[in-house]
Amino acid sequence: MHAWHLTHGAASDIGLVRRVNEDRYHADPSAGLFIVCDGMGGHRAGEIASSRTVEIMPHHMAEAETDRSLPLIGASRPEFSPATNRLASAVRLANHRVHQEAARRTDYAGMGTTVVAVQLTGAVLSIAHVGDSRLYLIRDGAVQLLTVDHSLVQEQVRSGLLAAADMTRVPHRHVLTRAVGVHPLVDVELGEMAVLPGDILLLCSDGLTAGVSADVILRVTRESADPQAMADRLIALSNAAGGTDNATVILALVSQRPTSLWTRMYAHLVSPPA
Amino acid sequence: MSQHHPALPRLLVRAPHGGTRECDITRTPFTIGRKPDNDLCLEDPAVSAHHARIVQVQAVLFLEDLSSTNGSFVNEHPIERRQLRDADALRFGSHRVIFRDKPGSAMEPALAGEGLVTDKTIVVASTATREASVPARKIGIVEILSGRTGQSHYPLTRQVSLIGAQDDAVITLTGWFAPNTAAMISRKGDAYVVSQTESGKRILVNGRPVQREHALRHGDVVEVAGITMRFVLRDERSYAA
Repeated sequence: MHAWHLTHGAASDIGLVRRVNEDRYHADPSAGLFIVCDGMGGHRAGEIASSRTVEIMPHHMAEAETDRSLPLIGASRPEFSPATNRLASAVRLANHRVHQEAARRTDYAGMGTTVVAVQLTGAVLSIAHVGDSRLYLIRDGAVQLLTVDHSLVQEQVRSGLLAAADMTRVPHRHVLTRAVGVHPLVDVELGEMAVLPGDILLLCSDGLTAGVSADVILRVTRESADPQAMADRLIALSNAAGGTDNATVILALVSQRPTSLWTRMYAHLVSPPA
Repeated sequence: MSQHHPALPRLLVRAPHGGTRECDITRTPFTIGRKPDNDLCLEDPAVSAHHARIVQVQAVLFLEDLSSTNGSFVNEHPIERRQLRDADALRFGSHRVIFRDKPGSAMEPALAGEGLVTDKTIVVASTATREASVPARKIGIVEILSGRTGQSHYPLTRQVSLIGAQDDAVITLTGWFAPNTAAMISRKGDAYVVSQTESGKRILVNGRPVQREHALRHGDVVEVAGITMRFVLRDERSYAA
């Protein structure tokens, strides 16, 4: 019998062109929670939106952990687990707070942020995202994108107006169709999957994928076993490719550790089978 | 996003009995209504006291109707919230208003799209239709052939269905030392995948052991933790009926 274990590495960089890093992240392997946000808005409002979101979400998750009756923000979706619905609730709460703050202060008007967040509960990975920050899964020597960008170019690719190869080139590539904080309500896209030992989860802002392709990501994860070394290498490659935007990446390695007989007995005593 | 405009967006306001005036959108939110405290005051009984407003999201202006009695229209479509584009024709009551985004450069079409040639991120409303009208999805169903479980069959409507003794397991095992999660079945569109868990319980599909994960096909027989079950795919609507 085994318990799930996460090791992670994370890095965020301003890039070579921007004057402010509006990306923020949160990484808590013991809670199984990882978040990347890419803020936007005039002056320093973008970093306000992303900072608030990476504070509000873990706080809401921790609060729900201690208080099981904490109300969900927004409707619960029956096809997803309580943990996934809770993660969605955290995004909606962040949206509400950021939107309210933007309404109160004229210099924050229109601020918003993307969010991609994962929460591992047992072997079930909850996924929530809004905007064009991404989640990749590296499994069995292959990389797959688990999120679909909420961007105008993605919609155009889906409807056949734009070739996928041109997505990173067209001038309107930074136009989002959803963001946290911009409207009073946000439509959070949810996902859920079972993890396997050896999986690598990669969360990133669009600044990383602007210069680093999925193939390069795969190569970097093969070259090292240390997630922090992978994260640092990916940021270095992003800057080498021009560093046109802030780039942020979190890598989380999923593994299993054997649990002792005592731990298993204890688990049975504390939460006896229904 | 820079807040200063080389040329302010402008409204050309035409009253019902002739008379045209121009009004720059000098700030946002920019309010429109019958009361004099609005940025654009329209003396029109068909216009509500606070009828509509223009809000800015990054470089983009949106018209929002403020639940007015007679509605706000863009190009004769009633709107609640709509992105404004150069030369849009707005109507409030019997007043007609033309929106000019960049009055100075409007004659130069090459500049029309310049606002998008930027590394700054902006947000627009999605044009995609909601995926509510997806035709006939398949749903996986597990029929229990033998073993101690709560029910005889289980529709796999969840994104991830747990098999085990855990509280939120979909297929509940009731044995004394049943593992919390013995196996998981994940849904990926119309496809289902069974995967191993931390319990290390052996999973057999059609008698063969599963390494890590295995895509399920209609009719597969799955054995795990002392239960035997059959996986079948059904049309979602016929199953619901």
